[in-house]
Amino acid sequence: METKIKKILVLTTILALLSLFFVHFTLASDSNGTIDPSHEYAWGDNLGWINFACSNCNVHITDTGLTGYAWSRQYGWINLSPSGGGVTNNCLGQLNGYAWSSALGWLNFSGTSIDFNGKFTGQLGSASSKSGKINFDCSNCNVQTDWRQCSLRSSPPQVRITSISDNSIPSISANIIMTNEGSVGTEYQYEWCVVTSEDNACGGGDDVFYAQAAKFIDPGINKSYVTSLEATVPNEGTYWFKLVAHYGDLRSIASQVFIATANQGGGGGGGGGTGTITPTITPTPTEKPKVEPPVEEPITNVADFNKDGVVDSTDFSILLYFWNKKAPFSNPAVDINKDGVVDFVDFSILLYQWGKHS
Amino acid sequence: MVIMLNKKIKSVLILTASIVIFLSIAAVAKAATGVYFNSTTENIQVGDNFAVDFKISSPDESINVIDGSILYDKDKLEIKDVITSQSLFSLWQKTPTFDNNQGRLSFVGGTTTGFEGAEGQVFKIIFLAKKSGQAKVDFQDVLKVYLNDGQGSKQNPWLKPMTIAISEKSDALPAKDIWPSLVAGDKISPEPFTIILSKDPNIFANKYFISFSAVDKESGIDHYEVSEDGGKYLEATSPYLLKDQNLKNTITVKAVDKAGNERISTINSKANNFSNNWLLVLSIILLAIAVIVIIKYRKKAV
Repeated sequence: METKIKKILVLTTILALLSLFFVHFTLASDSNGTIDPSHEYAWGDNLGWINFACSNCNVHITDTGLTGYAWSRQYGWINLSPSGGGVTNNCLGQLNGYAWSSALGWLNFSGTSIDFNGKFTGQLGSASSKSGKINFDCSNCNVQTDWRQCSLRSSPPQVRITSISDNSIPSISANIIMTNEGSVGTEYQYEWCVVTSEDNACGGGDDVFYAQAAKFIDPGINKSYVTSLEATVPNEGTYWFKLVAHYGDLRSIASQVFIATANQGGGGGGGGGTGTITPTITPTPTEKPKVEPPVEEPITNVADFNKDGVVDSTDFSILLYFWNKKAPFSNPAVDINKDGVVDFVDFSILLYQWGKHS
Repeated sequence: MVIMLNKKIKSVLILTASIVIFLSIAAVAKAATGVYFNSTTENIQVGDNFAVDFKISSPDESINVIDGSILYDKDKLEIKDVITSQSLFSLWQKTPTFDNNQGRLSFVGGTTTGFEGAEGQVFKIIFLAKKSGQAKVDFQDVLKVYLNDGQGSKQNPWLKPMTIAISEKSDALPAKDIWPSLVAGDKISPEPFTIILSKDPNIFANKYFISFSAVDKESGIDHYEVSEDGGKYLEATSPYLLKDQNLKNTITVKAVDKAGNERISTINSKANNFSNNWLLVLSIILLAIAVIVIIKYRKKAV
């Protein structure tokens, strides 16, 4: 009995080691991929089967392009990276540029791509050309690579401003989280700023405050970079705290509106609070009592489903989640007209109240 | 002793199994949501009309709303049109609206089914190349994407701008014009749609209004027109406050696509209202009969 358990233990350990090896293998090849030999054929109307993983094909897919050769039994080699041409990859799997065949001439790869599973899709050429159409999507075609789109491997981190922890001037603090949602550790350049309008981007010399830094972040939610960022804001007012993380020419942005107040000894707390001071009014005894104007009913925006005081795209998102679903709803407010279904009538009411503050 | 050993082995076994499961989960990397541009047009020259696709990728999470603005080089580019017919977003709070003086295009779109996947089409922008040079197409701070989770959770997607190389006009290459193939070739009317007549205290002060939304899969919806009295059509948007609050007229809504094809939908507001009233009267009569029957039954029982 004990021997059996030991055997299982050994087997499980081997499996664990194998999975470790597998993880390493996947990560090592997703930026410089090859063609899976069991999924190697495209179809050419005039060429027949085209092999992308023959013994001397040596096809490699990188973040910038394809190298190596494809083989057509009828027309011979197709060079994927000839001088004066070459099939390019824009890192998101969209292919472009030209391959060369001495028998067929230039072959334009525009309109083909590698999807997020590593499968080639689309077709190149035209029926009137000598090559005819070359198809990656026919019923028995399947060219697969272990290369993966850059956005699936490494990308700008998911950035969030969780709260404005101190909104008292002149030293403002914001709690932020940056998460690497790719599969490899990456050093990210990031910048943060305080600006006077949401449309104003960080940088450009018109920021109230601007700073930048870099941070290496391992992939995974549990490896997120959680920190507090400081900024100097000299005057009271309404501002936007922005955090921008860069990865190549891609970027991620988080923004949080807050009201900077004079230091009253209290904390900030999530960008709320107006910080206005109510003046004390002493009534003059000789004045006649004024007739109080009728108190206006506060505006109730029934489409403000998340109760943040404004009807906006957050409420639009909540409404769409419940679209055409029937009562009961986990958020009963979404069925605005209480007819038991969330539909165009509720959408119309949301549009009517769009942008209104309660 | 044997029992002790078994326990130890079991503990190690559980630990190893946990590691295997953890590694399996860790191996599945979660991909970020991102937005980017794509154009297959090459050798763009001054005077060319060409298309740029605005796309979204969200392989691991379902999203349902996108809200943002695109900035483009207004000296070198001019937007001729924005085509939403192939968009994964079907409901627009703000249909893509552009201002060529500012070089800005804004939009708020939603999908009722959520979108999870790669290369989702948001819309197609038709640009006119006005001047040679490098023209940048970028995103305005801050583009918002929301998860389809019923909570309105906001995502901050990665943004990938695009630079378009525009060369001087050359006689060697023919001028490109994507417009006719996208719009002029559309001979199909928008799809049939329904008009919903409603009134609610939360909109138009409890007055009667109509809601409508049509789909055109070729060139996309250009605008709507409403006629309340069988007469002149006036351009309108949904929701539309009815002028005739007595519901005496037949209401007609015309959906017009970018190629000028039309689809007309009609609602007889009087009949609709009568139908509602009639149902109410019927319900009251039935209720009254039920009450009478119960009272008679009780009297008999006594």
